[in-house]
This record gives sequence, C-alpha cells and structure tokens, in this order.
Amino acid sequence: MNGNEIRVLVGRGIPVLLAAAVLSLPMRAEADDAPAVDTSRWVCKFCPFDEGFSASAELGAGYVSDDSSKFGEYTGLNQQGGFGVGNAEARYRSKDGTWLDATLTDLGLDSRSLKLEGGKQGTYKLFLGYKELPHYITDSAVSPFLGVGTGSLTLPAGWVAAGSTGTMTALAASLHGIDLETKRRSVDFGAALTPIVHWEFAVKFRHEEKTGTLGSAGAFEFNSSQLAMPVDYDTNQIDASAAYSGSRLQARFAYYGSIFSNNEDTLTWANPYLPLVAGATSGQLALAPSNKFHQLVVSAGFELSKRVHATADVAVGRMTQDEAFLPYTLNANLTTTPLPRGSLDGRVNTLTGNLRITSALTDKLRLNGAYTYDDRDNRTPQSVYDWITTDTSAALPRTNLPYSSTHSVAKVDGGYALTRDLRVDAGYTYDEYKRDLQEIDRTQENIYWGKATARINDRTDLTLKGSHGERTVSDYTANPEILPPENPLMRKYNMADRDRDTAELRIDVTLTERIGIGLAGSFAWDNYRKSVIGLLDGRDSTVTVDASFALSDDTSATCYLNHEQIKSDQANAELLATSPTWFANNDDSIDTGGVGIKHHASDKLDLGANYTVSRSTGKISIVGRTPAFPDLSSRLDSVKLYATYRLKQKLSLHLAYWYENYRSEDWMLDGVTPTTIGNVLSFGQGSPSYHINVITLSGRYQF
Amino acid sequence: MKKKNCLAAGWLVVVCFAFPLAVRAAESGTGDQAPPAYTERGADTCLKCHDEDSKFPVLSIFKTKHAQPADKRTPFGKLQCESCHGPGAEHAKEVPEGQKQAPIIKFGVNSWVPVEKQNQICLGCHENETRIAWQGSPHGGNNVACVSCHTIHATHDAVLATGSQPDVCFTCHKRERADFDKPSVHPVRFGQMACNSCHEVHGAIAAKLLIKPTLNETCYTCHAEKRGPFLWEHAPVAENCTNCHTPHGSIHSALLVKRAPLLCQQCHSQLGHPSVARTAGGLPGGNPSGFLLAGSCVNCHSQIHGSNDPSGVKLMR
Repeated sequence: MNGNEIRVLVGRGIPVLLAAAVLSLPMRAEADDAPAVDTSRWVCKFCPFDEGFSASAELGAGYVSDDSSKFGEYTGLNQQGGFGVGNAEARYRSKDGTWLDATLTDLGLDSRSLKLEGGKQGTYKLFLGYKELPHYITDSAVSPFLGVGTGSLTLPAGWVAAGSTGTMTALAASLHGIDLETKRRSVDFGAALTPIVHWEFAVKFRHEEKTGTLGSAGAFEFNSSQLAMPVDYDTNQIDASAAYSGSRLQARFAYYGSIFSNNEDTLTWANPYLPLVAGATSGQLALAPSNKFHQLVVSAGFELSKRVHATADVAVGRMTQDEAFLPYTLNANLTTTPLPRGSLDGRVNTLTGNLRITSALTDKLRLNGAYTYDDRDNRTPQSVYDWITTDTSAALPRTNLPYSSTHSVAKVDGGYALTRDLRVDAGYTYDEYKRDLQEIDRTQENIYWGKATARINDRTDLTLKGSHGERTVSDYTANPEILPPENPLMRKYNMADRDRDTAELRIDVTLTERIGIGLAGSFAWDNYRKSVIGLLDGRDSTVTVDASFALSDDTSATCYLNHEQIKSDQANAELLATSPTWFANNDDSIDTGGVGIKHHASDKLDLGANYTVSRSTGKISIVGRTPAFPDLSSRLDSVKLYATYRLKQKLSLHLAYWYENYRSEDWMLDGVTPTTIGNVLSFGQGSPSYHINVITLSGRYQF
Repeated sequence: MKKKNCLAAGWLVVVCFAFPLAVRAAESGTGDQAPPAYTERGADTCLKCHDEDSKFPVLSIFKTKHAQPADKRTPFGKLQCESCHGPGAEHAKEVPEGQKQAPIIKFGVNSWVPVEKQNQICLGCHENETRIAWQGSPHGGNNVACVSCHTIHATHDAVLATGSQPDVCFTCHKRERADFDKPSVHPVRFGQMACNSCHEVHGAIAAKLLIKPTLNETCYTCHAEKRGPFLWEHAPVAENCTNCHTPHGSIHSALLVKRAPLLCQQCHSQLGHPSVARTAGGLPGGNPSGFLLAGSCVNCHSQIHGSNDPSGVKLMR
C-alpha cells in the first residue's frame, strides 16, 4: 500500500469505518435512570421562590468632551455634547411558571436596544427584540460630489474637468464634508414551544435594515475617485427547528433562510477628469446584488454506550442570485454585442457533513475519530461576456469562472492519563482541498500534533502543545482564462506547498489562595517551502502574562500584559522576471495591557477602576530599496473609573468617568488631501486621533 | 512518510473496530452498589445551613429558572437541590465539632468531583438543541467544566449577557482579549457584540466552533451582501474570508491581515503595475502614488469581494 492509497483510505474511508463502528456497537435499551425517592415531605417551606413583579430603572445624563468617529465608532458617543442615560429592567414570575423579562439598554445612545421575553416555563416562550448598532467610520472625509447617500453622484455646476486632481480648478470650492457611517436597525421575534415531552419547536425571525454610506471608488482607466457608496440593505433571516432530546438520542432538524435585498442596485458618478475617450463622462458600479440562501440542517447525538458517543450533522444549502444585469457601459460611443443573458441565474449548492465518535475506552484512555466534508458546488452558468474596461475601451471578451471546491478533513486522536496528574494526547489530521478553475486541483495536508497536560503540584498546572503540518499540492498550472497571466513562479499562499509548525505553552500558578498567575506563549511558523514568488513565510508569536489578586474580602484586582509579533516575507518580480526582483518584509508588533480593581468600600459604596493600554507598530520594508517607509503606529490609553453609592435600600447613584487618548499614524492617509495624488481624487481623511473625556451621573431606583 | 501513514491507518482500525469489544469489556465489570440516601425534607434540609450568611450561600438559585417547581424539567421540579448535588442525607448529618461534613457533589475546577462527572449532571437535562455536539468538541473534549463559564447560583449569569460575556471567555482566551484592543475590531470591546455572535461554544459542525457550517456562511449572517454568487468571483473571497481578513483584531483597517498593496501582491504578479515594488517614494512629499495611498489597490479595484457588472471582470465596475 503506497502513501497515496493510505491517504485515500484516510480521506474517503473514514466515514465508512466510523459508520461501521456505529453499527457494530451494542444498542442499550432506553432506561429511566430517575431514582425512586419519597418526596412527600419535601414541602420546600424555606424556599424563597421568586414571585411577583420587580423592576429597576436607571436615568441620568452624560457628557462627551469632543467629536470623534473613532471613539464613538460603535456606541454613538461620537459627538461632543450631552446624552441621556437610560437603562431599565423588569421581571415578573408566578407560581405556575408564567414569566416575563424586559430589558432596555442605552436608551440615550445610537446603540440602544430593547428585549422582551416571556412565556410559561416548560411550555412556551415568546420574545421580541429591537437593536440599533451604528458604525461611524470617519467624519473627516471630503468630496466634491453631490447626491451623497444616493445612487447618483453628480458634480456641481461650474465644475472644470481636468487631467489631474491638481488642475481641477473648481475642486477646492466644491469640497464639502461627508460622513461615512452606517446604522443597523434590527427587529427579531420568535417563539419556542415544548408541547410534548422530549420535543422543542422553535422559530426565530430577524429583520435588519442597514443604511448609510460607505467608502468605495470608481476609475476611468487609471484616473480614480473615491466615492461615497449608498448603503440601503434589508436582510431577513429565519431559523426554524424541531429538537428531540432523549436520554441517549438527541436530534435537531432545522431550516435557515436568509434573504438579502439591496435597495440601491447601482452607483453612477460623473467623471471629474477630462474624458480619455469620447463619451466617458460617467461611470457605473454594480452594487452588491440581492441574493438568497436556504439551508436544511440535521444534527444528531447518540450515546452508543456509557463510554462511546457519536454526533453527526448534515447541512444542505443553496445560494442563489439573479439580479438583472446592468449594460456593459454607459458610454454610448462604444459598441457591444447583446448580453448573453439578462441576469446571472447564479446558483451554488452547498453540502456540509460531520461525523464524530468520541470514546473513553477506559478511565485513562480516550480515543476519538472525526470526518468533515464541505462542498461548494457552483452551478452558475458560464457565458462569454464583452468587456468594456472602465467605460473607456473594449477589451477581449471573457468567460465567467464559477469556482467550486470540496474540503474534507479526517481526524483521529487519543489521550492517555499516565498518572493522576499527567496526561498526554496526540492526533493526526488529514486535510484535503479540491478546487476547480484555479491553479491547482488538489492540496493535501498531513498534520501531527501532541499535547501534555500536567499538574506539577497542587498549585501549578502546565500545558504544552505542538504540531507539525505538511501541505503538498498537485501540479500548479495557471488557468488560461485568467488574463493577463501571473508570473509562472507565483504560488498563491492558500494553495501553495507549506510546512506549518506550532508550539504552545501555558502555566497557571496559584501562589496563594488569593493570588493566581498565568503565563502563556504561542509560536506559529508557516514556511512556503517551494514558493519563489508570493508569500514565502509567516511567523506569529504571542506571550501573555496575567494575574489576579484577592487583596482582601472586599478588594480584588486583575492585570495582564500581552506582546504579539506578526512577521512575514514575500517576493515578487517586475517584468515577469524568472527570479524575484524584490523582497518585502512585514513586521507588526502589538503590546497591550490592562489593570482592573474592584473595591467594596462599605455596604453603601462600591468603587472600581480599569486602565487599558495598547501600542502597535507596523514596519514595512522593501528590501534594499529606498526610501524606507515610516512606521505605522497607534497608541491607546483608556481609563474608566466608576462608583456606586446606595442612598437608600431602593435608590443608588452611579458616577462614571471615562478618559481615552488615541493617537495613530498611517502613511496611507496622513497628508493625503484630495489633490495629493494626481490620478486619485481621494477623501482626504486623516488617520484618527482623539482625546476624549466622558462623564456620566445616573440614579437607579428599584421598584 | 509511508511509515507515518501506515501508523495512522493502523490507528484508524483500532479506533473504529477495537472500540466495541473494548467498551463491552470495560462496561461488563460494573458492579452493583447500594445507592446513597436522599435527605428526608429535600431543600428544607439544605437551607437550614446554606442561608445567605453561610460559607456557601445558595439562595440566589431561587432567582433563576432552575428554581421553578411548575416546570417539571427543572431541578426544583424534580429533586430540588439534590437533582444536581446528588443524594445529601450523609452530607446533612450533624458531625462533631472539628470534623468535616460528608462530601456532597459540588461544582467547579477545584471540586473533588471530576469535571466530566460534573458536566454529565448538567448534560442530563441540557444535552439538547445546540449542545448536541458538546461531547468531543474543543470545550467538551478538553473537560472544560460547565461552571467554568456559567454561574448557576446568580440572578444574572454573566456569560449569557452580550456586554459581560467576553470577559468570561477572556479568562482562558487571552490572546483574543488583546486582539480586541487593536485599532480595527468587531465591536466586542464596545459591548455591542459577544463571542457567541460567531461561535457556538457548546460544539459545532465547523472548525473554530462557528455558528454556521462554514466560516463564510458565518460571516454572511451579518455581511449577506458579500454572499453572491457573483458573476465575477474573486476566488479567495468565495473560498475563505480569512484569506485576507482576521476576525478578532488587526492594526490594519477593515481587519485585514496585511496592508495593500503587499496583501494583494502575495497573489498577483502580472506584468505591469501588480508586480511593481512600491516604496516610500510614493508617499506625500515624494511622487504620491495611487497604487500606495488612500485605498491603494481598491482605488480602482473597489469591487474586491466580487462584481455582478458584465464589465466587472477586473473588479472595477
């Protein structure tokens, strides 16, 4: 039996073997394990069951000291000024199991949410939720285009087109600030029913609207403009399931549907440059097409015996997309053939399966096997399409390439407890990836790993883990449909020969009952051993130290430090040279740390503080070429102080102060005004920096 | 290599066919023992000692769904405290001063009860729905105790709330904690997203315990506009979002693993601009380059996730 045959056995044979194992195991009769206990005197007279209505409400006000999209990126604290603090909770419980929970969060912010849940416990549950989530990207962008937020961007009257941004004489007077930001508003509701023993039926529906503007860009040949793209998405998702839960068999049958609708199909924009050819005065981008996804999932878990358990899942899905095509071009001076079809009729069938058997063969020995299959079968029809490049000129027609792939993974692993305090585990994974219409047909990876877990003494735990993986590929052959061709020496890193080695270490020490310290480190090295052009290697190392202290019965503290280094080397060749003409290195370094302390000062007063610090540096160099890039950098210091004072049994006051200082330097953005790049009319946004103080005062009343 | 493969194949045979025989042999030796006794008065017995002033206060359990007698699935619909903590008659017996009570099942990593046994008690009721795949999952297989994440005797279990859940996960996942302090992140540190927005922590079909069967399907739950299928697909995008993005945090915008143009030049080397080395000579003050500044490659190839425009083969329309 040669190596390939073995791999076939491992890759294709495992499902058969595991199935055989399932069938050959003894089937135990279902047994009611509930003990017979005389509970006639278990009246629970001392039990303070939760009954009746209770609620609390927090109201107050806060103030933000300055504007910053970055600071308020996801919260809504992006503008200077006051804001309201509004949070509330209410609950109802009754003896018969009827219940209701209501939660209102951040009423005064753009990230507000409301959740209502209720029902009769053990019988049914209903829920309704509403959530807003903003994303403020930048408030420092500028643009001369009018109609921001719509699908049609025009230039102001009197616009003077020019060959480069520096000679657009009307540009300076036409620039106006634009906010790139989106907001999600979602409503979800659903129900769960348990009408009969062992069964639960559930349905959940979610409707989300996402609106706003995002950054995009459009070009005419090499003359480009950054554009505000309108976002007006509706997404409806539904989850419906029926679940069975027996003592030895559990199963779940589920349907998932996702319907995405983009209410803005296109983005057209006026060409601010002198047209390179007659008629190239406006361009059009096809925005994300509306699409659908339907999926059926069956999951099951089965106790084959007290010591052997099996789980299996199968998911069958279909993605479709049939948005009407736009014309090849808006340039009426360019002639094209009719479109081969009016829409794509895009269809991707998905099939995912998973089978896993776990066993505790003895109290000391554990053996497991698993197989996962994931198939993306792209059934989208292929056609030949004319190609009008950037509304400017006709190029050779192209055929669309609907990519399909099949990914299968087989695993076996086992563990043995050598002593009560020392356990070793080891495993083997075979990973196979098949692709079509791409440079390689198949990659195969063999991964071996080992792990040791030891309790050195009553206070010290140690974990060591290491792995080695070797990925080999079939013949690397460029697809002739992909033009112009890549350098024949290029090896795309997701399908290149690769050795991957990893190592992890973790030590947890309980110094005293009140002090615990942890040390963790990990290292990963990817070596693309046969790549001459492309990614050559990547290294990632992380070290973390953390500690927790119970300084007294009333005071606790935690702290941590983390250092991470991400490095990679790559090569490329100008003019399709047969060996690399340049090499580049990336070296990202990130240090983060934090300290937190909580103090219960008295029955009336609780205090707390958190400090977070983060420093990052990104070094990029083109080896041997000058000038060198400046470092990318970011510096974050964040301090939060908070206090809670109980004025009365039902009334408490909360005071919080948040200081955050952020500085970043990014050569992609800094100093780049709309006229800096002759052939890119840019947003001119700088890298974000801010210095913000936030203070809030609120009162919470318990009803 | 051949030797290793033969070893793996042999192992497979052991795993798949030796199991049944070995398991039968292991289980046949189980002997009968007299079961321990339950208390005479159930929770009333327990609460005589375990009030709010005791070393082990328990009354918060009555603020939770576990303490609902009307729901016969819950502990208080069955054997009250002893549903989870086991028969307690011995434990409840008075002992001379200085002596320890007889042990009772207690939960936590420092318990005398093995984690696997503790979890079996929880799974006795909760091995359903999304927890079907718990056994053998990364958490289940590594004997993570249910109570390492869940606080049972509490009105609010921190791991069930979006804002407080990440701190529970960060207790072990320290690298991810650092990731979320990087400049480009999903909104976890802002309290707007939790770990279980993407991860099914109790076991899943997909690697990394993702909530959907594949990584891309997980991303599409919030980013459905990138699902397509597109007329012109960008092959690595359709294959795996993490070919270009890192999910937890990056120092590069849009959670990219690396900055353009070098990110793109890892795969693109065509004659002309894709293969040209870009130096700092292209920064402001030199000869500012659209291949390097503002959006770099996406200044023109803005439809990087795929295009449905008939003229979008180069992802420029």
